[in-house]
Order: sequence, then C-alpha cells, then structure tokens
Amino acid sequence: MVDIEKIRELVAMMVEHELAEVKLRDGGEWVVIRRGAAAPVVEVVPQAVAPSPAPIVAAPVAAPGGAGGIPEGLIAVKSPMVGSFYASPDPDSTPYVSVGSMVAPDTVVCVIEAMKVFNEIKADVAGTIEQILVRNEEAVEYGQPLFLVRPA
Amino acid sequence: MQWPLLTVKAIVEGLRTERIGRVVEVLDEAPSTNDVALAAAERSVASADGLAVFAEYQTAGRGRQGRTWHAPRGASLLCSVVLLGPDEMAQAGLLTLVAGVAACDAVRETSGIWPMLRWPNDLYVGSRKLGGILVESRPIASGQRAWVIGAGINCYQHANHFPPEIRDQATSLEIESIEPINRTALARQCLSQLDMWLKPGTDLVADRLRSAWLDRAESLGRPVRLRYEGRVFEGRTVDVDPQAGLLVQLNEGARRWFDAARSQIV
Repeated sequence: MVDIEKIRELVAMMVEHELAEVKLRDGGEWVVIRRGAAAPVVEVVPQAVAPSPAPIVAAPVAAPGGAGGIPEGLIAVKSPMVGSFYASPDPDSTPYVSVGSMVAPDTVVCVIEAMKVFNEIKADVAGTIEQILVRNEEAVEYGQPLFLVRPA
Repeated sequence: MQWPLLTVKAIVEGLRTERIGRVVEVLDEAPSTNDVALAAAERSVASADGLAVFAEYQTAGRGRQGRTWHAPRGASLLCSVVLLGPDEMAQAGLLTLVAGVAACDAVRETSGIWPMLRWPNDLYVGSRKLGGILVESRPIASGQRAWVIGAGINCYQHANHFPPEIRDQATSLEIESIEPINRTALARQCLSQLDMWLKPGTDLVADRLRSAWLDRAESLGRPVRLRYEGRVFEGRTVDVDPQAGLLVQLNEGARRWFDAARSQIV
C-alpha cells in the first residue's frame, strides 16, 4: 500500500515546482499523480504480472466516459485531434451546445485549437446532448470523448 | 487618414499563382475576412478553393484569445485565403507554419523589413508585433473541410494609431521602413508565397517547412507567457520546435517542455 503521507508530500512538491504529473513505483504498485486545473488526481495502477523490467510509461488510464465507460444507448462525440477544447466561438459568446441541445450530424458542437488553428467540430450524429465531458479550455487527447449524445 | 485603397485589378495584375488567388475579392468592410471566407466556402464548395478575401476594415476582427482586433480603415493588410481538403486534422499544424513563413517572406520581398516569427506564427520586428495569423477550419459538404488562413499585417499605422496600452508592443511597416509602403505589392506577395507552398503537386514536406520556419524564428531567450491546461506560466524560451513546442526556463526555476498542441502564448 502506498503511504498516504508520501503522496501528500509529492503533491506539495508538485505544486511548488509546477509539475503536472509524477509517476512513482512503490513495491508492486505504480502511482500516477496528475494535477489539472482542479484537485490532484491519484491513480494506483496495479503492476502487471512480470515485476521487471519496469514500464517506462504508466499503463494508459481510460478517460472519463472512455471506451467501455460510455453508458448504453449513448454515443460519444470524440475529439479528432490533440488540442484545447472551446465550448463557444469566442469567450463572450454562448456555447455552441449545452445539455439538452438537439444536434444534427453537421451541427458544430465545439472548437478544438492547436497551434492557433481553430477547428470547428461537428456532432456526426443526430440526437440530444446528454452530457458534456470536458471543461472550456481543457486540453484534450485524440479520440477523447467530448460529449455524450442520446441518438434521435 | 486617406491611404491608397486595394483594388482587385491592381492585386491580380502580374499575379502568377496556380491555386491561391484564383478568385480575389476586396471588401470595403467585413465582420472579419475569415468569416467571409468561411461562408464563401460553405456556399460554393469547390470553386472556393484558393479564394482570397481582402477587407479595408474589420468590424469583428479576431485576435488571440478571442480578443477583438482593431485597425484604422485601410491601414493594415487584412487577408483570408480558403483551402479545401479532406476532413482530417493531420496537416492542421503545418498550415499555421506555412502561413507564418509565407507572411514573413512576403514582407521581406516587398519592404526590405525582415520580420521574425514568434511561435507559432506571429510576425515581430524586434520586440514589437507587426502582424498575426489565425487559421480556422469548418466541416463543409461531402466530407470536406474548409481551411481559412487569415493574416493581418500592420502597414500604414503611426505609433498614435495603436491604442496606448499596446503602443510600445506594436509596430507597422511604415514605422520600420525607410521605403514607401506598397500594400498592393504586399497583398500580391502574400498570395504568391502561399502558392509556392500550397499549389497543386507540392507536397507539404514537414522537414522543409520546419527548417524554413526555424530560419525565420526570432532568437531564443525571450520572455514568454504560456497557458497550458488552464494555467499560466512565465519564463524564457530555451528551445523551440515549430511542431513539438517550446522548452521554457520558468521564472520560478524549473525548466519545462510545453507541447505545441496544448499550449497557447498569452
């Protein structure tokens, strides 16, 4: 079991040094601590069968609502690229969609930006927005679910 | 202030491009040239590829962070170019670099000023900003995507044309150059330079583009402010790779790599 005090110390150190992620091997366990805009997230990743060699990168952790995590009957609108998520065309505008919005396949639901290229993303599915899985300006990965849509 | 206006006739005179500027429009006023270009791409798919839209004045020009971007009527070169392609994102980052390199070279060719690129694609003369680029894309009919490269380059402004709060951070060709400024020639060069990279049969070779970008990049060690995952970091640039991102010596001591896709200069 990972020492909780050790994690506290690590989080304090991460805050002090502006670190986004720390991976720690402790006996049979890998601990990944990530800091986002909100509270730090601690994930304990049980080690695979073979104790060595140690993995260089921690096992990928499913994003919220990721593969397998999508509730039955809903379809995820996924990010086609790595970048930053924007819910509205500019900071002063209302979001493209909100929970309860009806969308058609060609409805623009958000903008993903990378390197000052702002890309409108469409729903590709007809239905109702059931859940928004990312916050405005949050960094998103390729294939990460952004919205859950209940198909019409 | 009366500055010489752009005309389609003058811009296309002697323009020898294959793709960019097949159709040229000059508007007296537009919300933003990117908006006009995106709407044109939606309206007339296929024939919009290569369309170049210029405007003398933007009522809702966009800058970084959704900031409104103002220039006196006729003072800046405001231009957007439409490219149509398959709805895939693989080359999105390259387009922003092409736009920066092309704008940089267009200024060099027509004014003798050698601006430098600040990652990813702002044009600087010393520590003052001369111009900026904003690329936007929109899915359009038949599985295609319209890419619009929008550029704004300050041409005729004097210092007092800039708002006081940015006066010491902004510049124009008029301020920098001893030669008379020819905005029409600059417009034509922007189209020609983009065409060199984007005309049919030209593979957008990432390595070639990367080295062209690095050749025009401003020197390292400059102060930088970045937003990364919602937080702001300040420091000095240690290394830059146009596609990978920036290595920054943070003011609080750590040295950290900021990846290109998730970081924004603020």
